[in-house]
Amino acid sequence: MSETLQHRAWTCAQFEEQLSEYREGTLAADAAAAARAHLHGCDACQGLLAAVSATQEELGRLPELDPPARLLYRIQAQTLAPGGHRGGTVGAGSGWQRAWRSVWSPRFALGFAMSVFAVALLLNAAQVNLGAVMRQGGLSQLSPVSLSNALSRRFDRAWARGVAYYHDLRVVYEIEAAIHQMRQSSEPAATSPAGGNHSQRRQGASQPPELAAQLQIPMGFWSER
Amino acid sequence: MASVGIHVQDGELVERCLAGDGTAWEDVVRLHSRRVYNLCFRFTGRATDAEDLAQDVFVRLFRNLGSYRAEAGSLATWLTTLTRNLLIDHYRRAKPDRMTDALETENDRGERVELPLEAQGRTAEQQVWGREVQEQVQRALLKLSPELREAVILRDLQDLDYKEIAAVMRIPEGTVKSRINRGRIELARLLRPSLGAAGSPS
Repeated sequence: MSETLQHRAWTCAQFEEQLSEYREGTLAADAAAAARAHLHGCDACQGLLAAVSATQEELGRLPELDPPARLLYRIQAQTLAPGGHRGGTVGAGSGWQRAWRSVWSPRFALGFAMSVFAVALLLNAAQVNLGAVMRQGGLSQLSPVSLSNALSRRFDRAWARGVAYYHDLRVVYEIEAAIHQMRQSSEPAATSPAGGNHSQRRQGASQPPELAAQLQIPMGFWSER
Repeated sequence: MASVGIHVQDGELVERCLAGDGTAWEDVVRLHSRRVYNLCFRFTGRATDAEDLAQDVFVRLFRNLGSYRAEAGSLATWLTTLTRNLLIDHYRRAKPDRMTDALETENDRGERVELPLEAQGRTAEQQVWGREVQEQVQRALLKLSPELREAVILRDLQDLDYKEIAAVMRIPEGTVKSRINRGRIELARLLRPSLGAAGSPS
């Protein structure tokens, strides 16, 4: 009886201390009775018990997250790859075998393929045919010198094309200038100052022999090219 | 988790790893990375930290596979001990910016869009509600002291029994029980501030 009284005198702190055990039903019978007795008369501890139960439920509903896929690759790269291989003996075999194993995951394989593609694209820009390189086994084609030669060759060609275009434009302007000059020089000969514009146009349409002769030169230059 | 059969299997798996069987090592990683990652995530509250730490755990495991003794316990418990030690190290190292961390995690939740919401509820409203509660619980977890936090995570999220937790944390089972109990109560008070302060006299 005195024990029961003592249990009834449980404080909130005492109840709190045993709260989880009480919830889980692992308290000894007399302690459980004391806990129930305290709970019966204590709103605060009832509230706390309910809150802990609700929290437990919420904790239980926290989802298990999927680790990001790259975590596995990172681990493999750090352990099975030759560089990360220090302490253990996992992944024994020749260095190349281990390197290949670590490379031969879909992610790295894709990355590798993309790199090859990118390099091939760059080489193509530098006018290096990768297939030809492979066939001839002429890896010297890939040396920086030959690459820069190929690039400068390509640049020279583009530059030459630009210069030619500029020349062509110049010829056209020269022709126009010549025509204009011819008009200017033939204008004083025109006897009708009135409606000059019309006469000028007519004169321009029917080219004098001098102009045709002058045109022969640039046209010849043009056809040469 | 603590059955003897599993320990034998663990021992064989580790033996194969040590003999140079790369696929055995891949099996180890596949079998345990999810649990290790989740433990790291719940303890740090940050996906990037969890990823780095989990990687660290496996690199260390790989280097120390030779010292695993199947008769001393399951590989899972051994790995959990390793993870727990790294987490505590990480906590001590990150201590100076811990306070700001705890506040930033609210915004950091953005990087955790991978939460499998389908599992939470049918309607969009339920999903939003479920996510909010999850974030509140995670934030409250981060406010616990590391001793209480790890105890609650190991018991209520990782489902280890008291004995296993005692082995992982290297403390008596009685202390484990009391930490878990205190952790749960503190968590409940953090999530429901109307309950009032701890140890109020009656």
